[in-house]
Amino acid sequence: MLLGSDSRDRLGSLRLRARGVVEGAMGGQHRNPHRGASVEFAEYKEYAPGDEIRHIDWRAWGRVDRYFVKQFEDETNYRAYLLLDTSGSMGFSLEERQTKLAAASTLLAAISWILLAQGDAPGLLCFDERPGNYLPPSSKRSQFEEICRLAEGATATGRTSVETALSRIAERVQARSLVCLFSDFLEQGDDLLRLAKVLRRKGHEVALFHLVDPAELELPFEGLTLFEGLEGEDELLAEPDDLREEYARLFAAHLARIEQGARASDLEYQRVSTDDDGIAAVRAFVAARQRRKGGR
Amino acid sequence: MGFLQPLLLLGLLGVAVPIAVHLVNRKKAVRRAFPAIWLLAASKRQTAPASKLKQRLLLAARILTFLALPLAFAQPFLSGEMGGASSRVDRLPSSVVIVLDDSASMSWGRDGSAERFAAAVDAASSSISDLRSWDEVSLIVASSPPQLLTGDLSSSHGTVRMALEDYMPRFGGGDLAGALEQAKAMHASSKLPQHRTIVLTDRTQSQWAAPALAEALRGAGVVELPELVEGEGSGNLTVESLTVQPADDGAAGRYRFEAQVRSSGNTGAAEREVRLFDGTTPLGVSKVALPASGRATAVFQLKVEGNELHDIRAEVSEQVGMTADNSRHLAFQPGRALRVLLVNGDARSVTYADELFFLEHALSAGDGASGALEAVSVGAESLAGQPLDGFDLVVLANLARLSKDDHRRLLAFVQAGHGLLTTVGNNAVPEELNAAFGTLLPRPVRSVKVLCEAADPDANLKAVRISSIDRGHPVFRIFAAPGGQTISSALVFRYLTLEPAATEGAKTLASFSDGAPALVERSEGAGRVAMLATTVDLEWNDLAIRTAYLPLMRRLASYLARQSSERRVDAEVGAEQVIDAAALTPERLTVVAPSGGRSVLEGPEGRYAFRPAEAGLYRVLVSVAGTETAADSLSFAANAPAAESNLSMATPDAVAAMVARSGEGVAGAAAEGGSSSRRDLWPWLLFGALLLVYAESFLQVRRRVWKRLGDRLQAARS
Repeated sequence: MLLGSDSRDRLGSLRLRARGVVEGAMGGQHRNPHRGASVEFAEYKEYAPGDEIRHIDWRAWGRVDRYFVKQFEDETNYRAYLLLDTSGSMGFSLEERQTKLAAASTLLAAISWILLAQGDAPGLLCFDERPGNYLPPSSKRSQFEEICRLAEGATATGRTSVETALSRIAERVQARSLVCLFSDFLEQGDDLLRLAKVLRRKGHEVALFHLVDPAELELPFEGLTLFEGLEGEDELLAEPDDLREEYARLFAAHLARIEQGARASDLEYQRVSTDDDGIAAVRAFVAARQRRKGGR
Repeated sequence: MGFLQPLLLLGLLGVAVPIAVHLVNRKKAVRRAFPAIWLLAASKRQTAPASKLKQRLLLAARILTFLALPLAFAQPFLSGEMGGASSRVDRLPSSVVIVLDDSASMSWGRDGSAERFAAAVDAASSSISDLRSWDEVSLIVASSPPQLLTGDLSSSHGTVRMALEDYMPRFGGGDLAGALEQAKAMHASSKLPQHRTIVLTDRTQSQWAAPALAEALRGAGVVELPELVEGEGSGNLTVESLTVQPADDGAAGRYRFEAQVRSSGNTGAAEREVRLFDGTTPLGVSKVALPASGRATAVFQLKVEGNELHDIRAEVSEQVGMTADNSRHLAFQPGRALRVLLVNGDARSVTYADELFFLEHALSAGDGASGALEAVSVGAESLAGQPLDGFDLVVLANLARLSKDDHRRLLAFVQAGHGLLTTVGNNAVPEELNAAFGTLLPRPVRSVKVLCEAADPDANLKAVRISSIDRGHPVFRIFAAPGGQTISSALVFRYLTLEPAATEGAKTLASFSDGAPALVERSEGAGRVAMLATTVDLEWNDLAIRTAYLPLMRRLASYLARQSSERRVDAEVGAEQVIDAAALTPERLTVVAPSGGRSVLEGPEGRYAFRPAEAGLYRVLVSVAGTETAADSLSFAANAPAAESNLSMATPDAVAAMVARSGEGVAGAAAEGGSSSRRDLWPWLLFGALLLVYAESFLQVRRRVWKRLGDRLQAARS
């Protein structure tokens, strides 16, 4: 279990008030324009894992021998796609600190709990250079346990490709959704921001959780060191003392680039240090979202 | 450029160490996983030039340190003419020690004048004049042993000058190394910043080739060697030896004196006059044809009356040369052979079976020179009519009986200061022996102990040996030397046991392997009585055919007769002479020098150390029972050391090398009319190495340390 009962109690008071219009009839506070469970039929949708079994139209199955799910014009659950970066760099930690992957999983679980508590449907996609385990959004009570189980089972390996994950989500997301991306964003290009911007333009909420280890900020090593990349990069022999100043400058510039890019594209951005309290980071995230909603 | 310790240049191979460490360190880099490698790579691209420069500077600093240290230890120096370079150090207050060589070679000169020593005194005087008032000076004479003339370093230059002018040279052996060691000790006690040692010597091989000199020069400060001798090739005549032996015609009282004269250096072949003196009395003149760089012997056949000690001196005249070795002294005492009366108690017609056959031969061995023994044998029946006057020792060999009259005469003889040795044999009947000899025996006898016969095949097992001896006793001291254990090889088949009751004054000098006394002595009046508990022939033992027999009997005879058993050994001026007076057991020993000076000596176990300071005859006086008598057998002659007669000088190169090896600063070795100087480079190299170490440490300090320091400084300012 990633989130202890104490942490869940502390998070229980939070309410994620989704911005924008939430269409659907379930007692959410936002109107949901997307299809969901309602009494007024809207259309058919081919069954996909995660859809409610009880909404399968058995008659249609009898006619065409394929599973279709009935969708209704009504208030629906607010869908949230939680994207967890499980590339090798997320496995980094120093001096008994938790890994970035562990810190991201904690955040992810907290947000899932909040979403479930207010009747929304969180889903999970683990990814490295390819999409990995996927759990479709659901508001079932067991969803939290499923998310936690998948997040706990994730191991940090392989290269990062945020672009692949976002592309996959962009294909799946139909109704207006919340996309939360948990990563250290150590990719060099601007694909991340570009795709996130596309999602945002489609009306989705996008939140970036930037995981940072303090050692990445300070480069606290001494003596000649042979640095090995965690995602298959070439080795690098260097005297950390010689690099420290320049590295700190470059890393700060990298962080600033991500943050400024996110702000410019109207994306939520939270930087989370692995030695921070994860719950505090969620609270700050929610507060920021509430401010943004209030501004609309 | 030269090196004082060139072997240490091998240390340059150590330059491989920092290179190896550099390479190994690269391999020993710590491996660390790190996510933002591309940022590190970008940082490295930016900082690589500076980092590489730092690494190369570090490597260079380490390599240069490893080069500089062995180079410094090898003590490189630059040689050159002395210019103004030394003036810088000359301005500093200095402790100056003048080492004045007064060895025999310094007596070289014309018409008997010691020009070299005079030149040395002039140079010393000039050096004193050149001193500044704040300089401190002292004067050491490099005699053997070195002599400090003026006490500690002092700025009272006049006192030193007076001591120099008043000094009378010894012209004996020299000890330049010892004098330099003293100079070093004086410099070490000085608080002045500059140390100078002025060595005034003729640099003859005898002094300069001494192995200890190089070590003595090390640490003696700036060594100056003013030139005292112009060029090589000083000629010299030397009386190398003066010996005496009985004259060719064998006439009593006539002796043959031989003086060997040697010519060396550039002295040409010529006919030379050799004169012989007894004290100041001329005895004769002999002309010899002396070849250039060769030897000739002057022979004098003379009659010398009496048995007093004579100071015989051979002298060769010389216009130019060293005067100290132109004459040679010989302590000569005619007719002083030790006279021993041997009384034969078991005479045989077969010579080798005679009781005294072996003893006579042992005591008569030798060439008749000093220390000889003169043995006279008589039968037991002739003892009554034999006068004892003129004898030093009586040996009673296997006597069966002794008349009361003989007993009385012998007791008086011993109590007058002579010796009596009793040996036993088949004639010995213990009860009769005790009754007849009484106090002439050191201890009463008890019985005859027979272990086996000489022909017994098991004699080797049954016989006893002389296993325990008093090695500190004058008789047995020689047996403490290597090979001395041969005395234990003799087998004793039969011996006379002594009464176990202690006798006052009796002392057991040797014992058999079963613990029974073998040789016992006791003082009787002013003389000594001793008894050998076995025979002096082969009847009861085989000692007589062992190598230990001859020295044992001769030393025993000399000891009992209160004569030194040591051969007279002539001494060298300045060299320590050991006078062995153990046989005389004096309370005090006095040595009278040729100039009349008396030295009262004390020494352990009758051995006295004495160092003659002048050439000539030294007379020895011993005090026994409060009476001082002349011990002519211990008197000796002292002459100039033979090594000093070699006037060949050390080459300028050898001198320069020796001074260079000293490792000190400027060496004022005057060579070829000019003064050469040596500039040491090792202090600069060491200084450079130190700077390199600092630089290496500076480069090693982490940037964050500098950053913290900068932050603190800034904080302090604000």
